[in-house]
Amino acid sequence: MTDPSLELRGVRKVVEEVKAAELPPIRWAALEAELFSELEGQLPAGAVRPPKRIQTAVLWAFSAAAIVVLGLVGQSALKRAGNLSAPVESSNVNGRTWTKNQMNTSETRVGDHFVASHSDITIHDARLGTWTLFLGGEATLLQQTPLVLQLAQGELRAEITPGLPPDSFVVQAAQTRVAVKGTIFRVHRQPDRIRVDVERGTVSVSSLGAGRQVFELRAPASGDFALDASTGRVWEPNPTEWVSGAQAKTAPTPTPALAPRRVSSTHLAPETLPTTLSLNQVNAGVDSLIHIASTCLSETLASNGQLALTLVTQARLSVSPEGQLSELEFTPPLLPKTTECLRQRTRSLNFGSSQKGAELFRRLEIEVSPSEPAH
Amino acid sequence: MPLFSVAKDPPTQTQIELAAASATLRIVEQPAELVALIDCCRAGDKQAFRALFTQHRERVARVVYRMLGPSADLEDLIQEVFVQVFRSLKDFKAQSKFSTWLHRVTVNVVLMHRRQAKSRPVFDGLPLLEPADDKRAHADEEFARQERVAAFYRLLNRLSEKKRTVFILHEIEGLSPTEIASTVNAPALTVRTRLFYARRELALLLKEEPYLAHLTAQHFDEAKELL
Repeated sequence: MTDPSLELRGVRKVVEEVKAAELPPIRWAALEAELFSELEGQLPAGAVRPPKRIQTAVLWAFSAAAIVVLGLVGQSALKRAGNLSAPVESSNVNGRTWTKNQMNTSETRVGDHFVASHSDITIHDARLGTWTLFLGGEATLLQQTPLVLQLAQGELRAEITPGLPPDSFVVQAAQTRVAVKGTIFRVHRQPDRIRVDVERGTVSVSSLGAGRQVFELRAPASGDFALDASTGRVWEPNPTEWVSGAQAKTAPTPTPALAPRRVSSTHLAPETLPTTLSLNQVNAGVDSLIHIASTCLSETLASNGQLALTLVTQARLSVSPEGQLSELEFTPPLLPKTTECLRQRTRSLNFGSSQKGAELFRRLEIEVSPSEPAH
Repeated sequence: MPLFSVAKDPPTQTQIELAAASATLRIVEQPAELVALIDCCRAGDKQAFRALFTQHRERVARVVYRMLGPSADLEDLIQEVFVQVFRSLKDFKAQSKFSTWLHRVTVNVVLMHRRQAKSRPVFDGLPLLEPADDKRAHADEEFARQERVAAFYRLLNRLSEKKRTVFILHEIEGLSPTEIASTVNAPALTVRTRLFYARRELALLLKEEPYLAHLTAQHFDEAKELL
């Protein structure tokens, strides 16, 4: 039998890892905007709070009065009174922070910070077109002409008027520069990489640093790039492949919006991008796996009556560098028919690409609902 | 505080009560800048509170993360802590350092959240049925490290809430049993007992997590080599 003190040492080792673990990325700007938006409705901290019953009555009376005031005085007066229930501009150290969802470029100025904390933010520009910062995203306006946006986090989609001079709209994400001609494209800043999807037109992706390497993406195309764009992969829809230097690899399922057309790619770097798998992507993949397993089991057990059941099994998943399942084992094992069904249907699952792939262990609780008898 | 250090003679109950009584009478001197900032916050100055938030957010985030483990609720709870701080600043009587008070508020918010979450059915990645091959190397070390941390929190979630709390506060946050006692409103002796059982249960549970089982095996191998 193992000495318990050795096991305590094991606990100690993992405790040290927990203590050394870095905080996950936190969207501070969005959090701050939400916090202060919530605090606007609070009493000053120093104020004496009335007893709760009186407080509730006062709250109702105040609400009724507020509705009347709203109708009479209008929104501008409401802003002056400091009631910020709707997301509007709030002050920021380096300029202004915007959280409202529809804007025009005439309202913006260099240094403005956009935080999509409540909903998407869409900015219209009569000359350039429209760009949308999706919920959870943060961006800063660095320059008006040509328009340069710094994407701090999240996803941004731009629909730029065709026929404009090159580089008239630029998105910078980390050390990567995405410049466009007339086009529709998306940039998604992820913790360890930049994803670019081009729906129409052409974009060039390059590093902000010296000696920059340029990737050119012609629609429909997608690319995955390191944060400094020193390496990257561009999806070639036809044939269905990811191209990484001279080495071609099997592609994950292409984005449905992208029609199968060839993308011309230049200067493809030899290395794939993320060094680690994204936990979010892995969890999404495991969720899909559970869903597929549930479907397969429902079909396999269709003849076994109308009982709903929950099956618990341990899965070992080997994920290839391309993010696909290379091995799938269950302990205790599932019926051969079910396992085969799973193997067939999980081929298109993707857990996210990484340099080396990974091996995962998950305890799965698979709920099986009764199936309709086949006629 | 070193992990699993041999405890000195525990203070007697009378000593603890005396210490607690003197603590309630003591006013801890705070830095003048902080006092001014807190006064402004109490008066409802949002800019002052913004400054307080900026100064302390990292610390709060770290405590929440350590108490909670990997969770999608991290940002919500950080926000909730500062809402509570905003509401409760008037109750801060400077009987402890502001950072200690803030730590206590943070811990209480997390504990409250966990209590409420218990009433909701969640799949928390319960222990695996059988340990996998200990020696299998993970292709991606950083990912494996994240998984080990997540696996450890899964184990912690199998402890009772009381044991889990004292273990995290002592072993990870470095609080002394006396400090924990005042936070969880329990005698220090009870805290020590919970700590003892928490360690023992964790050590036994360790081998049930494939991501952690190799740790016990590895130490066992090391010990054999020494022999």
